[in-house]
Amino acid sequence: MARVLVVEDDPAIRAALLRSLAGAGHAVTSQPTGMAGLTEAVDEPPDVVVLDLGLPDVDGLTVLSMLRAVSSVPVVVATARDDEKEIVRALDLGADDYLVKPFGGDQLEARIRAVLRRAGHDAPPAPIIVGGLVVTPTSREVTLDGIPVELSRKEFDLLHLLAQRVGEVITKREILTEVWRQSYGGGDRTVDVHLSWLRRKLGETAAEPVYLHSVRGVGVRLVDPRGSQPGSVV
Amino acid sequence: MLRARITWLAAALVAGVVISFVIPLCLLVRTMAEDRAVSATRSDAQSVAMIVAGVDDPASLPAVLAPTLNGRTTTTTVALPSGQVLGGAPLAGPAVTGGPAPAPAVFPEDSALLATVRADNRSVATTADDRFHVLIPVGIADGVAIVHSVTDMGQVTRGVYGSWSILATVGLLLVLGSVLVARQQSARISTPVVAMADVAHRLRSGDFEARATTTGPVEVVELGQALNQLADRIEDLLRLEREGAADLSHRLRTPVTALRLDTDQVEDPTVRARLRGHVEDLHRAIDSVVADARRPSREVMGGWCDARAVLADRAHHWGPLAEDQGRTTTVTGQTTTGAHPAYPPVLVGLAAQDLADLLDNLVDNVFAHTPEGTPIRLELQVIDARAVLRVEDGGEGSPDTVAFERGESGAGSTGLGLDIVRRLAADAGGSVRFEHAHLGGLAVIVSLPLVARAGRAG
Repeated sequence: MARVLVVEDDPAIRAALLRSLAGAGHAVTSQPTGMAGLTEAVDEPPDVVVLDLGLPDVDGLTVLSMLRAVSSVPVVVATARDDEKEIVRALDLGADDYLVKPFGGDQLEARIRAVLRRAGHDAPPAPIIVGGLVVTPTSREVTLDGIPVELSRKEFDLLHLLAQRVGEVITKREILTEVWRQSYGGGDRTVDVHLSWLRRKLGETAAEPVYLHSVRGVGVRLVDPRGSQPGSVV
Repeated sequence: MLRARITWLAAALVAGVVISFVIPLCLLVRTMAEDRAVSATRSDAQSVAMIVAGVDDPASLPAVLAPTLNGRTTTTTVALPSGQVLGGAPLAGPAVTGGPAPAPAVFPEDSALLATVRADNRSVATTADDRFHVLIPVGIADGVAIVHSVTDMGQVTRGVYGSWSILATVGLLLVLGSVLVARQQSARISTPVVAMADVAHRLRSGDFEARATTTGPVEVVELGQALNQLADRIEDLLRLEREGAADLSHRLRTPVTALRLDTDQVEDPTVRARLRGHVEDLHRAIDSVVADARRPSREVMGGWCDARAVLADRAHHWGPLAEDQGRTTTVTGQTTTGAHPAYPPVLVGLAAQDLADLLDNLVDNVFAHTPEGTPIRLELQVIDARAVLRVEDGGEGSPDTVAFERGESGAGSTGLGLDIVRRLAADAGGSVRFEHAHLGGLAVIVSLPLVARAGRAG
């Protein structure tokens, strides 16, 4: 359970978020304006802030930079604008994660959990080692048996997601949500194409998988080919 | 072109004026010269005739006439009754002043003329063989002497040529001068106009920073200012459009978020799943509306791309997935990335991203609607100034059912599938049709007209 402060001007969304987060077991308070939200965040520091960028009084990005000046509370930005520039600015100003509207309660809940997890330890995330594969999130570098692998941004995000949950089958839908931030279905081939490219770059094919194993009709999982998960080949 | 036209116009005008003045002037000069020559001949003949008439002793005539007959432009001779001819230079040969025998006639026509004058005993002025003759009979002591003055009119005309050449030179200088002035003046108009055309082309290709410099004649300055205002307006409209699209997405997405969040609260899992499906459809529709709203700014810029390069790029993009799914992929039509002398670019009127979207939709359809292992064939041909892109598969699709299978929106496919393909093809002035594929399944044929590079010519 965490104390969540929701700063959102739309009453319908505010009410829905209150219900959804309270349903997930969080203690939720909400403020309709930037200044009120800022005041509350300073007076009664919450565990996490969900901040809408389109606020009536002060721009959400301004609220974010003002908040960052006095507090290191984790902030999840919720924005209706899928403009990449604005998202990058929000992240640069100190947002811990972002969500593009419309999003579901589960997705928000998952992101809150993730930022709270990260907030627990300040040390940068350590490289993830799966067999001969080393994924370094800080520098966004990947090596396979010591040799650097050139990956595109999405390919890295995809591999990083899979490497964080080695052995676990991750659905394409979840990959779309996490990597592409798309909350609706479709776009299966987007994931497939990137997965195939990732396979090529890791020197394997779908017919002869090494690290990336597709589970037909379900999703994909990353396994350690050196046998730490026997019987993982499907 | 404008400059050349203005220059030609000025040259033609001045040449016309010069010709209409110079030709009558030349004719006038010639007429005046001829008149002068004729009257000089007459007065020469008359003055010699007066001298001849005033001399009492015919024997002294040669001595008296010698200074008068020499040094004249007109040849004047005096035929004495004795048959002796005095004078005779400079028109014809050596002077025959005095001589025992009757001197031969100076010109062929002379003897005939002399005979006529002698017979009629009256003056004659006539032109014969391009020479003007004046013959005056003068009664002297021993009979009738005939004073004969001749002027070579051909020589007079030749003397006029000098004046003519001066006139022609002056005329030519006038024309040349007008050409120089016209070139200079037209440059004042054409240079800023050409610069403005360049600015218009840059605006068209999406460089909205381009502005015309406003110099030159008033009208040209006004044109430049109007162009700059137009550019400002385009920039404003594009900005408003982008803001409008952003605002639209914001206004639509906020209520959908509330709906989506509340959907989670529905207890009945069947109803919840169904509601979620509806919300997702709505979300997808909003994304497509927003994508549409944003699209024109890209299209306004008059996009174009090399279809060959884009096809090669997309074939490369889909390659690994096709391989993983055991699909054989054939790409024909000399597709190669980068410039290759043997494979010139095939330019079509779509931005590279748009053509990539179009191809991705077609290939995605094949992946979505045919089982793994089904072959795919991508082909590019240039037929009758059109780029013909062909995406076909070895599945079981039929041209008759394609609209229902793949064309309808909201069928769980990415975006709106063939709707997007149709719209993009129409944007580039092209068309889409379906056929039975050589591979056995469906062939989608997209035909796009070729365009000139950068849209400057086209």
